Amino acid sequence: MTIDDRNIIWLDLFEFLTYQKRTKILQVFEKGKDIKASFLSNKYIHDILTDAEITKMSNMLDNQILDRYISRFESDNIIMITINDERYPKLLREISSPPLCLYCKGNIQLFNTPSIAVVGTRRPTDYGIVTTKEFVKTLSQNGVTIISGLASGIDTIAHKTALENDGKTIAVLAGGLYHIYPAVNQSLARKMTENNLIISENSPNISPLGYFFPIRNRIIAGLSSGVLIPEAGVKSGSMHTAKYADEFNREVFSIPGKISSPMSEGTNSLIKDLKGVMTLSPYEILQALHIDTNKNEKNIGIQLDIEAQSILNYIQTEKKTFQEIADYTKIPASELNSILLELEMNGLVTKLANNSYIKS
Amino acid sequence: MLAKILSYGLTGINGYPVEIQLDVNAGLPGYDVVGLADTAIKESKSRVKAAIKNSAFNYPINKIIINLAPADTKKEGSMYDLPIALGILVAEEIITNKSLENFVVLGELSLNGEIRKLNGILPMLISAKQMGFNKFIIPKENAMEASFIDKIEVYPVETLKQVVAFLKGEIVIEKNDCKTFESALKEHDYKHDFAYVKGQASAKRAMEIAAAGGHNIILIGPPGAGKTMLAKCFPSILPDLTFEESLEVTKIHSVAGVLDPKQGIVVERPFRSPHHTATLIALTGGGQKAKPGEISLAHNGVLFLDEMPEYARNTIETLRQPMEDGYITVARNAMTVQYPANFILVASMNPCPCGYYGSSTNQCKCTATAIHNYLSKISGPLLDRIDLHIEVDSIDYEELAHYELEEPSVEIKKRVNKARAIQLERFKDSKIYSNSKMNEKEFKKYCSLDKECTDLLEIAFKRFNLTARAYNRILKVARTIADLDGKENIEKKHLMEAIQYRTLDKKYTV
Repeated sequence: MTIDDRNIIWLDLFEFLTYQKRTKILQVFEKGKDIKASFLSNKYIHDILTDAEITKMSNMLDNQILDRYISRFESDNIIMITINDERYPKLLREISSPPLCLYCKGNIQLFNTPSIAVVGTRRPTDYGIVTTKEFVKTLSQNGVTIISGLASGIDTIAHKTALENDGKTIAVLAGGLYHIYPAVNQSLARKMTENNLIISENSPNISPLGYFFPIRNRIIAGLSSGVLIPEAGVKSGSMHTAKYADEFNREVFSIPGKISSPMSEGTNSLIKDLKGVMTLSPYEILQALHIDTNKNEKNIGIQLDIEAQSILNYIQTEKKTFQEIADYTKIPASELNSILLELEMNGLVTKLANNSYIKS
Repeated sequence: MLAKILSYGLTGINGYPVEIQLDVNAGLPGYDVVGLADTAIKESKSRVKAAIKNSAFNYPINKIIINLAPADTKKEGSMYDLPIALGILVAEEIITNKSLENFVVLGELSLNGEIRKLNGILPMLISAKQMGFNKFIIPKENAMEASFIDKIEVYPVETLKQVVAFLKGEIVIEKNDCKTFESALKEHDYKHDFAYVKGQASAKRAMEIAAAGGHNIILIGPPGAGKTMLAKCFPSILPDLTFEESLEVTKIHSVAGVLDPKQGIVVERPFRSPHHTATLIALTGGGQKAKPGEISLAHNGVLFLDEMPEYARNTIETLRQPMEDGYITVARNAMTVQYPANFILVASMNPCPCGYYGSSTNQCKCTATAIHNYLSKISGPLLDRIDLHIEVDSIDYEELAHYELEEPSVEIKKRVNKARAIQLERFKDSKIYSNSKMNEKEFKKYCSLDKECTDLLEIAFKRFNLTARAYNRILKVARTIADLDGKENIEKKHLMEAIQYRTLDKKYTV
């Protein structure tokens, strides 16, 4: 680890230093020299920082303190990749405000894979859930890494579906790696550190604050080759991500929805304003990324009986409740339960909340 | 002059003999009760005195000492009024002690000498019979309750005067008729019938399985979907009580004082639905006298917890141990008693705080965290003990509007009774009545799977992230489904249906 790397990691420890302040500090100190050594004697430092900030930072000038932090992070298997590091993701380096250091946990080889960000509303409708699953499934099976923000809703579905299909996925957190948010996704995050990756630009000890989230979205857009938005409201973080993607010249793939659905207002307006490409199939994304579609996609050659087939036809376009299916097919509840389970186990139908089903 | 009279006491639902020793001798007039008597017994002084005087007998103007043996056990209740009064009359030489030999005497006196009804007659008589006592004098109002015990002589009495005349041989009191359990059974007219529940095929089927195998069930659905309605219909499809089951229930109800004196014995499976403000003690039992709680009153019947997450967390968590063991031990200062608590838990809940998560008619307004917090009010261990998870769909107008009646409860009950009969035959050598109570050994014996089913279960476990604890539950439910189907072995379709009822084990929220 070079002196420059240590400088960045040291600056990252202070949560009151904004990205701008950190870059300014790095500019006023000579490269390759320990900032801590000449911190108090630097004449520009008072222009950048308040006295209170300087006092707080001067308490941490001891090299041993920084060593303790670094060894703690390392013992927790956190890999620190600064912008000077050659392992730093190339795509991310291109953006206007690249993170100074990425704190990573998991498989950092994923930075070198073709990737798509999948972001969207925290409260998806059934339509959003089903389309996200379908798109992520195809993308994962074709070797595309799914990048998202570990938020509830679309993000979580994207990560989980990628894992279920043995695909690769990266979560970009707003807070430090010791502060998984939302807490319900603790176990998902832990699972992702095994073969996949969670990263953050904030030092692991820093807990997420509200304004971190939109800033974090630039990393999601920056890391990926394109951004897929299955469902998003007009005022949402996903629209931020889309804006960044536009700024960084990344393609925005927007899935159209009903004009009456508030959760599709954002995606529909992206299409209308020509900010996003209307996307109807995951294969369009693969094509745009110049990825050959994987021909050995698992083709389920299951012989369905007439009853199962009629159920599938019935729930083709719209979700139907158990009762509706029972009334339509006239199959008794006891048998219908086992038929639906068989279809679900074969991945042909998806069970939604409120005991309803839709073809997947 | 010394008198000795036999009576009975209760700890929990088990009785023990109490000998009332009474001595009247010279001294200042007084009335001393020794032998750890409670206030009700000490107050017997006034009742006994007034009852004796108002029955036109002489009350001694002497020192009366009463000992309740064994002297080191706490006694409570008003059942010793009558034996004490008889003891005084023996001491006064109005009746002889010999005439009371072999009689167990129980009864509360009112001031005019009438004998009032008691709680807990049935359990006392049953344990007295086991101890070898077979002649009883009890209040007439409790006669019905006592009539279901055979091979004992029960003399139901109404007044103190009548008892005295009987003991003197002046009158004859008819022995209580012995009744059979079958004669008490009658056609029930249930208030709620599945015939009037529209749609809900999935929930009805699950309730049929729950009734047949004694499985716990939880209904999840938006407000107005009919969860409570379904639960209220549940008793109408429960299998008939057997006599042994009925005696167990009656004992508890008798002790708790909720037994219908005209009926005398419980013939319907109890349906208890405590409100969600119920305290822990109300549910588990306790209080100063260690009375049975709602879960014991629901023994061999149904405990219905409507809107389960609204109950205090620690209150519902206490259900875990009785749900596993089938009994609850209530330890109090005065005594430690064990009450049976073998019930089918029927719970209902909304899928989220606002109630509309996943609803097709209303938009849910809850955040993911709120939903998570709401669902986690019911802990994993508790959920593991609930075999069937059912999502109840809301009904649309078309469904409500057509007036055809659905399958009536009587028909469903026939299938349930048939499946239960298979289980009773299967478990005739063990002390259980239904599939849900199988222990490990029985589970191994009756829930074996063939290769196809084992493979299927393995795939399902991987696909739905089922917990290991879900394994037993699924197989027990599958066993019941096979019983309903009249099949010897669990088949693939039975297993698949059983897996389908573990919704909450699968990822319920996103």
